[in-house]
Amino acid sequence: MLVPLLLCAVGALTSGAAPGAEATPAPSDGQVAAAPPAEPSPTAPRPGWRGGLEGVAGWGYYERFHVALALASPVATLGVLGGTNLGAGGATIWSTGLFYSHALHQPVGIFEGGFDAKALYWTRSDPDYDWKLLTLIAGGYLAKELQPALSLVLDAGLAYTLTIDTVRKQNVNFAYPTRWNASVCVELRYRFESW
Amino acid sequence: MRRAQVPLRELVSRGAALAAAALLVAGCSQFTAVDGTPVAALARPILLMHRGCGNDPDYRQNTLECMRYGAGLYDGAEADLQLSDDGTIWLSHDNEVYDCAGAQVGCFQGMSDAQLDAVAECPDGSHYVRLSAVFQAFSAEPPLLSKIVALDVKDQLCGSLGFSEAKEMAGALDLLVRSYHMDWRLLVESDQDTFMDRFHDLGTPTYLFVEGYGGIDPIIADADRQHATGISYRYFNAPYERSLTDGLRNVGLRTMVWPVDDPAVIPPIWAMHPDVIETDLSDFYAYVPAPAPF
Repeated sequence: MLVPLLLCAVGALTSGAAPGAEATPAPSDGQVAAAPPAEPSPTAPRPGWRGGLEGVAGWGYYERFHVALALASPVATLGVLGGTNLGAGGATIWSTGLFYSHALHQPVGIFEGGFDAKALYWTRSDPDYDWKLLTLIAGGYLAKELQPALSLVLDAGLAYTLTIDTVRKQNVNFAYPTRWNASVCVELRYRFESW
Repeated sequence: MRRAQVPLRELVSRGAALAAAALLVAGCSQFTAVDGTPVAALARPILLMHRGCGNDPDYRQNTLECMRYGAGLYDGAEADLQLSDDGTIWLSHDNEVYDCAGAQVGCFQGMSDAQLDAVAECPDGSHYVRLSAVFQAFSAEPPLLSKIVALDVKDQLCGSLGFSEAKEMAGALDLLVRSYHMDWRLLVESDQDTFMDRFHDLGTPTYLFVEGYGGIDPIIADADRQHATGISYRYFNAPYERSLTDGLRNVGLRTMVWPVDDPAVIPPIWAMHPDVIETDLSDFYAYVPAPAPF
């Protein structure tokens, strides 16, 4: 899954088209291009922004509290994240992973919409088990620019979890990761002007 | 042309409903607890002869005579199952089929019953037997009437992924169990989800043990997903602790361990009190006190 994800990401990151921007046909000889002036989309990146670095912070069902750095174009975002549950609930969880998001060509009302995919490696240690797990998430997102360069993103998707390693510490409670589940994540993304 | 805008209130309502639904679903735990109804320990482990007659050199494994011998020594015998191209269940550990001279002539799933019959009986005795013949014996011969049979459903991998063969195997086994009234005398071992799903659909009256070759935790997970009777695993893949078998019984899973052949581990495995033990030895009870029959 990761290879096509990365290939897709590289292709999208190197393209410069903004969501909602249709490609304008090249005028043929003797014709004058008569394309109407583009109406600014409520979610379109600021004019002149051609991509760069984004800082991300948020909470996700599988990501937990996390921060991330991402390379972004007006169309796509590819990043790495690291997260933890801060020891809440009697378990210690650490997560790291890759994520990729791709914007739709048209805004969804006042939101930017798109699809995204994540590959997370995470560990959980509690009194019963030590787990090493891989979770793959695919879904969609909605983003709203709160102020210039700062966006709120909500994504939801389907999560598939595989066990990489298990150490069971006792013989009383038995459990296993839920193979198919849902996942939600809310994040703030800040777009750096220069990097 | 201006794109039609979705009304803001409707959009927000839909978004909120979608997020609430996603959160509700995400509220499902990331981990599933195994919490079946507790089952009681048996008075002692059921002891079965592995592959019918174990390592006894006087018998060929997975044949009827071998099954009679093994079941006569202990509480019953285990056999391995293969499926022919005609959908008939035969006994064999391996997919490959050999003629009387020992040359490979094919693979079970690629051979008809007639082709298998041609190599089943050899001058040195029977090499292959149908499961129906075993059930006939275990349902009619007085010494075998009280015996248990364990059946290891082997992966059906001759030139295919085996999904259709696994379903066909489940159907054929169900038919035989009902035809020979072998209800609740069979312990069926499998690691194939396709087989087990079909097995559940048919409601075959046997006990299902989910089999695995690595660590036992993935087997426990699969057994819980399949609502199986228990797990079947190599004995050395878990510590010999009574708390493990008791703990699994407390969450509704019985344990079958195999092949317990090392005399040094027989006492600790016996003390661990699994529900079923398979051995290749003919003198298992030389190492633990011979118990009374069930």
